[in-house]
Amino acid sequence: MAGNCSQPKCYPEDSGCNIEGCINLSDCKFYGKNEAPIKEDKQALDDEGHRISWTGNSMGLNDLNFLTASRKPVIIGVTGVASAGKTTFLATLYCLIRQGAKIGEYSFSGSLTLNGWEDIAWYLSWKSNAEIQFPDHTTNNSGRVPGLLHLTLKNKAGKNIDLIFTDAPGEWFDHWSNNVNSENAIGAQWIYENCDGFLLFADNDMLSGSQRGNAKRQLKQVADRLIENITDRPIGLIWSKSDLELTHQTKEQIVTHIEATPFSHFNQFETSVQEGDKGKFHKAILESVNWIMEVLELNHNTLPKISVAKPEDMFLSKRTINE
Amino acid sequence: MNDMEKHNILIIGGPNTGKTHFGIQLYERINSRQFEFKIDPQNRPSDLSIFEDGLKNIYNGKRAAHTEASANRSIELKITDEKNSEVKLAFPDYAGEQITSIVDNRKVNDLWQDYIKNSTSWVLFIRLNELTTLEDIVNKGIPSAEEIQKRNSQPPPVKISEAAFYVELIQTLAYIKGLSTYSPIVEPNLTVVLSCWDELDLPEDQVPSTLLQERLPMLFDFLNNNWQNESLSIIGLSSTEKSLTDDPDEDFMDKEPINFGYFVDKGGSRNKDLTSLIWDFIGHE
Repeated sequence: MAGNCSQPKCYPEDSGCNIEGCINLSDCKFYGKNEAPIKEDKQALDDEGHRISWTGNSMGLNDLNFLTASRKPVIIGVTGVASAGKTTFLATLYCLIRQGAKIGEYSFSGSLTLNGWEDIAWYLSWKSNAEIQFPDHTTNNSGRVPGLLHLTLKNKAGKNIDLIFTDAPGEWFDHWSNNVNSENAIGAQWIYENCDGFLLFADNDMLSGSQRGNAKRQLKQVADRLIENITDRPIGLIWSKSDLELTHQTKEQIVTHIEATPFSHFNQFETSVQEGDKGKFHKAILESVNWIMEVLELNHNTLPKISVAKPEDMFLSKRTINE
Repeated sequence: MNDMEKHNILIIGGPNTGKTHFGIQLYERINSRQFEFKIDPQNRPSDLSIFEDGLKNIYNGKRAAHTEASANRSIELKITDEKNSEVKLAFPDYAGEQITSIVDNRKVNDLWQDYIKNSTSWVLFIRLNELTTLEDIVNKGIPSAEEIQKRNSQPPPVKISEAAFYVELIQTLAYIKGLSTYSPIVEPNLTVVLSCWDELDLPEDQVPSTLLQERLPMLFDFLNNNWQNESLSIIGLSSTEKSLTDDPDEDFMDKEPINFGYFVDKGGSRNKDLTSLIWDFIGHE
């Protein structure tokens, strides 16, 4: 049940009538049929105007319908333990795009979650220890689906790509790496099952700090879980806060551990909110996303082999001749 | 004579972006019949009250008053160009707050839905001089400790950045008009007008689109990616050539308003004939 609509997946106050497409909510057969008293009178409802179908905030699962109805977005799982710099990475990515940066050949072409991006860009670039703020819709499934941030990109040839980034609290991955069946791991498990590619965050600050031993363990543990059923999905390892030097030894330990289980697509990127020498840390942020897009572009299903041993089948026979 | 082309030009601009001054200056030039587009003398609009107050002010060298929030009037002009082809222009006059409220409230009222549905051309007014500069980690670096302390005690701004505002506005209008952004948009034709150009202190040959790309890169990318090249133009405009205040400007009174104002075309050249902007608006070369 959502707001004043009796249908479970409709949020008419936010994104208009989802089920019946009513322009005036008072005409809707589902609206205001809850037991809860309706606050607005009919007149006020008639004057409400036409809502747009996205709230601008980071999306919950039901909000995805509006987007996925027309095309399949690429969902990128932003994973890593708490305060590894995941949301900071996203905020920086958005700020770069807002300043006109390109991801590979692609540039900004729209977003259904501009408010969500603006929120993290504001919160996380200016706060030392910000909490992730969840949009209203997500609270309905609290702890099960992360906030989702959307970008549409387009290249010169006019090709569109929709990207969705998960913005989830690091604690989810702590729980998940400990116990995939834990009640608190449902959100992380959702990310694991639904994402097309992953960015795994390794925090140079934690990995060189006084708790570095445990930080390594946590990182390796999350990596292990990610690799379990990775198939051909890419994992990009993000060395966040790369403005801080990390010993070669530590990096090697992590990479050796990850590479000990071979899987198709692995890459590393050094990023930071500091732009670094010639902007290299910022470039790496854009490159990491581009790399995932490129890998997925190449990951086409192979065409099924058609047996040509049936001479009576005209269609297949023709193929034999052509081959 | 060709069949009369009918164009509905929707001027889109927030408060204080110079819509009213432009309307007046354009009308005066059309009405003077000394420029490329001329009013049909048999068909002057019967009701001119939409321009009345503004005209009075501007002829006295003063700035036009802010359009009242509840005002929703529109005017239709029948005009002809030098080849005598006729164009029917309609544009609504409204207070810019109505635009801000579309984005803030995330909905469009019936009147605006009609404006959007009936429009064949969109003209988006942006006054670059009034934009607040972005402060983010990309151009300002990491905030200092005191800054963080200060920001922590403040609620987040309700306002989103201007780049995001304009993108959301155009996304909303496109959605209400039922446009698909999957392939580039051909109609409505979109003209971005960088208004109050004189305030910006730019070199003579500044190209407007480069300026938009510098100041609002995300909006620039958004527009270029979603509009067909031929249906998008970015131009500069100074309707009155200098800032008018509530104190009368002697020059304006002596020389008449139509001798002030210019626009900067796509290539960066200045042109005093504001009426030829209509070509850009309706999407003809």
